[in-house]
Amino acid sequence: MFAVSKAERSYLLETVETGTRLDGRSLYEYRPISLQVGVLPSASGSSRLRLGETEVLVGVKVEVGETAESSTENVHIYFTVECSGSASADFLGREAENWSSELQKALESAYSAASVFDDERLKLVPGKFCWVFKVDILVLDTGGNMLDAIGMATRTALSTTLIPRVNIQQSEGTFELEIDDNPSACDNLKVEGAPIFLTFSLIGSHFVLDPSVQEETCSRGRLSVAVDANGDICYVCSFGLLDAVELARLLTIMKKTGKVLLDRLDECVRNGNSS
Amino acid sequence: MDKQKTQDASVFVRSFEQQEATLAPSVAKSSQFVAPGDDILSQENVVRGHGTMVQGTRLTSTVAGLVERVNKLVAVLPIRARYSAEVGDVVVGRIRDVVSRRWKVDVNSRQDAVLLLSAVNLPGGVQRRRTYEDELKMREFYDQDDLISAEVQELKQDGLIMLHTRSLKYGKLENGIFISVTAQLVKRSKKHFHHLPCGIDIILGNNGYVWIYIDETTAYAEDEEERTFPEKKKSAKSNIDQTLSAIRIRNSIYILDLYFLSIQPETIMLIYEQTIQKEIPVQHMLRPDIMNDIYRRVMNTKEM
Amino acid sequence: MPREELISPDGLRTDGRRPLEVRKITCRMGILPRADGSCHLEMGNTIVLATVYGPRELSLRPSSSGIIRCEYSMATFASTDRRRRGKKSDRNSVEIASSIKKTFESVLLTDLFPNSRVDIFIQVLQADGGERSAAINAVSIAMVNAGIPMKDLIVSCSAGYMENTTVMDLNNIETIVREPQLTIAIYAHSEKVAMAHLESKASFEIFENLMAVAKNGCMQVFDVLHSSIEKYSLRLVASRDSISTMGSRA
Repeated sequence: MFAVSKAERSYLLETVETGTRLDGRSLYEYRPISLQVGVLPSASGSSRLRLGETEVLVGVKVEVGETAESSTENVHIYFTVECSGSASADFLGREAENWSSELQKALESAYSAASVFDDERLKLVPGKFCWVFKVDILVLDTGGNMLDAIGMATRTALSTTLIPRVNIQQSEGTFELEIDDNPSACDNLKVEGAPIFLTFSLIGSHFVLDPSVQEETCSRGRLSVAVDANGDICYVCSFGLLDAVELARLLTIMKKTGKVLLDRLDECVRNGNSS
Repeated sequence: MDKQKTQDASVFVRSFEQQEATLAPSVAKSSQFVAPGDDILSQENVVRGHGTMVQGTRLTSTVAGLVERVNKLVAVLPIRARYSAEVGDVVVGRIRDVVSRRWKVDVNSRQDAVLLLSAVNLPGGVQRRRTYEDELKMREFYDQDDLISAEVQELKQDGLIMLHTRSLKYGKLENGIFISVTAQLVKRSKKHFHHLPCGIDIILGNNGYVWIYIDETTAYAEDEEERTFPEKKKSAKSNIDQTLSAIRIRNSIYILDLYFLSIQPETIMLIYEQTIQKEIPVQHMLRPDIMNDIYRRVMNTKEM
Repeated sequence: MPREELISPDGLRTDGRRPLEVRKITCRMGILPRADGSCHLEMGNTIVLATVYGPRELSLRPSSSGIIRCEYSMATFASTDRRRRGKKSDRNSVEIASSIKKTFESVLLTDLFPNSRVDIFIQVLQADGGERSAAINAVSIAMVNAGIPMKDLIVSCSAGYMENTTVMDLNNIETIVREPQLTIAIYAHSEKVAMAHLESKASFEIFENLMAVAKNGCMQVFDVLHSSIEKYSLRLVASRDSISTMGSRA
């Protein structure tokens, strides 16, 4: 576990009380983010993202799969989160597994709404065939706030994902799907509905955004929220006591910050593609 | 309900390529570079030092670095590695465990250092015998996770580091910020406790662990006005200013470590002054574009 | 199924290489600042990340020399068919991890750090053949990055025999065919073989041939790795000494 002495803890609390944090950030400020897309040529979409000292790698695979007759969804999305042993000196068996399942669950919840991939182009044969997105996340370094890093990397990887065009031929109740091999005949996945996470940690009586490991270790509570580009809330998870007024105030901050984050991420991807 | 003036969140996103395109200064190679297994060019009768070994008739290196020669001694020091201790070094360490009559201390080395109960000053007499009560109270003295400063007293045959805190200047660290850097960037010097011109104190541990703190006693001694009114409590405002200075120092050290620059009071102040001069608020210091800019300026203005 | 032609009439391989040519190697050191040593290594399209922690406290019974642990895993997105194999517990991964551990046990000067351990983590990010070699090369560099003393630099390369030709540094297509393939790891200076791994049957003559070609490949790998280490190290030294005020070093 990350070690913090009593003296460090109380100095951190005192400092946060004055409105700053030990790395100089204000309470509602993210650490710098570094982003790279298309890092895995064999994947349909991929990204590598570093948030402060947390680093993750995401690969997306797109396939056509069969679906249950009752299902009306165009897309089935699956997540796996793997915490690489390299991520932290103390990442041992059980601990890593618990982290992984917790993060995986958060992603599944946030992406569970049908409206996440609301795009006519993704329609294949409802009740028969649908798209299957397999999102594999590898945590390379843990410097606090893994959820937000994973959320941003996942959304970015999806935003660069190419969906091949499919010709559907119907004859006597059977469907023939023909996937266009031509790499230029691909569409970019629309990610307006795909959320990112924002996490607050409760330090003393203050909430700080994007906690570092030290802050996570000293925190008494946590609030994680997922928002999408439309400002909709896709997921909420909180621990520790939180009054309703405070929650409303934090949600407003998150909505605002989430919008800025999304814009910057998209901008960075666009600039990366153009150059 | 708190009303922060820092409501607006700033977000900074950029691509990795920008980060990795930092300047690589050109090198005037003064001595031979070797990687593990490479032959070290040498004459007869050399004394073989750290980082070297003899394989048959060859003298080879075991690490990557420049060959250092002092008279007949030939050594290769790794460019970065875990801390390797020498007697007399001052270190900052974190208590990892409290076991019978000893503390195990993480000092960024190959194994935990040991601080014996007999190697600390106990209240009520330096030479007093250690009793069983003392042993029971060890956690009150230094508890697990506590940070301490100490001196390397002895190195055992197997490399075990023995520490002592038998001086008033050593002991538990409070009221400050901890940062860990590459040990090789901190040079061995006679002085490890520094009072920086900006009013902040630092302990530069030889092991790459650094403690940045506000020493109340020196703060008072320096400030004449405060001294005339010793009873006057320092205002909250000046406390915040001090904290911000401490964080600025912390971030300056972080930048030095990131760019692999030597870490000593002069270089820390070089970065510190540069950011003050350019009026860079402390929360923007670690933005990659700003760090690059500071780095470039410091490299251009160095006249040392 | 008709076999694809692995070597064209002009003697070129599927990826355009000549038989005795290694893939393009790029390596970056120290990319994970919180680890003691790290290396991101690309051999063609095979990408491997190696991380080294230590030597650090071994919280077990005392030992007279250092202990090495190694973990190897393949990311789920590493290969095109997203096979689930490659997990840490997978037999293939356990075997590779154990062979890498043994390879490095022979070269690290473990006597210098009793009661300590070194942890090696290898993550294959993209698999296009030669993962074992890429992993060993990446670990070697990560060890150098962590400043852990070694007798020599270990380098690794593979060789295979197909269509009457011996080729070095096999890619994925060349690995799939059931022809003799040899992966070796050697000490770069003394050329002692630290590890050899043969798959499929080979006559003695072919084996000798494979050995020679793999060694040749190792030397090509060594040239690239050594110059990467030198470039990286000299850059750090230059930085370190650039704004220093005191003497050259303590």
